[in-house]
Amino acid sequence: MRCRLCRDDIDHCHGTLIISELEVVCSDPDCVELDVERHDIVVDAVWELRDRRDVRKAS
Amino acid sequence: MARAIWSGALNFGLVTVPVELYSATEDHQIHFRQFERGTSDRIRYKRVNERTGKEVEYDDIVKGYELSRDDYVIVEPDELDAIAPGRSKTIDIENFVDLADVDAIYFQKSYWLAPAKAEFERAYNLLTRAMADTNKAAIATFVMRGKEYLAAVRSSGDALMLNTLHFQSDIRDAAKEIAKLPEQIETKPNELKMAVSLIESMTDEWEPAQYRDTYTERVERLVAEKREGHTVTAESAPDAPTKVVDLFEALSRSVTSRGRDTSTASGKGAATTGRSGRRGSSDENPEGKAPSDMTKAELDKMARKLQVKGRSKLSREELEEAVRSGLDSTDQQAS
Repeated sequence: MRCRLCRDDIDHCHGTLIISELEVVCSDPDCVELDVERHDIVVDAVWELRDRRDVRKAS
Repeated sequence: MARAIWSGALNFGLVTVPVELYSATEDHQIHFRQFERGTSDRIRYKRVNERTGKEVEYDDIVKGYELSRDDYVIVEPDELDAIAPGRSKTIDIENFVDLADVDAIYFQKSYWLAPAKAEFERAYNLLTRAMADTNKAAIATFVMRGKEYLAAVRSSGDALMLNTLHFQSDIRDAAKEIAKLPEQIETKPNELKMAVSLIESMTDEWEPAQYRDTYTERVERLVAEKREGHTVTAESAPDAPTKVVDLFEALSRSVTSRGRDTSTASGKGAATTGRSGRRGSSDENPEGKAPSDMTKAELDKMARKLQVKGRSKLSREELEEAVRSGLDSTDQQAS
């Protein structure tokens, strides 16, 4: 078992949490709680869009 | 039973208490699955290698930091741990502050802290008690899932609560972000007086049980109606915005109508409860919900209290009607 969180019996999800302006979804169809803290891999589309907007503004 | 989402130690001076972190809140929002319209085909998210198109297992995914387009630095979890050894295993208390000094904008999420083992209960209780006595919160930092959190640890009943906080750099400046923010326009004294009067007439004790997620309940009802093949009825449109010239009149009418509601409710000896001001018999229906807003379980419970006969054989609609007439007759008896 390579996952340290599994070894330590910590509640977590191996799916990718995708946060968009409209919804929060997880790539794991069995994921029961969509909390950021339960996910090691998170794609925060809201922040990515904001970052790109800031870069465009700056240039 | 909930499972811990993080474990480590709480450092308080020279005292170290091994603790576990548990979510103190839960999400009741309805989560939808996605389908392609006109089919029963689910939409799935898959993590694939963009070159081979093959799915990649969680254990084989590593993180990469984008330097420029197509140029990344790959970072392994062990390397992230190595730059701050132990940081991901401790909650380090930096200082204590008055909780009232922390503006609500900084609060993120609430967690319970529990002692990791029975032998640490004494130290845990001591810290809980000391913080309750001083009414202070400890400001601390810790690392969870590769992210550093600022947190306030405080006493809440017999337990320690941890609230994650935003860093100052996370907080946006309203003046910079919102172009439509109004300039400081001078307020008319009579309008201000009326607005303050309305606020005062609407001021209540903070009773969180009064508020509930009515949108989720409507979505649940929509799903139930569609499941039974019923037509979905649209809700009425929201109120139109107040015309600028009507501001004073709208405020005065609100104050007058507020006063009338209060006197009517108190005259009948019934409590005005709920954000929408729904009235219910305070003894029989403490949450003040209208029967149409109750879940089937709540209707069952209420019917039991009202001693509705044959309630177990009633449909939801019949139960709702029985509870409504039961509450009405209780109200009539009270008046």
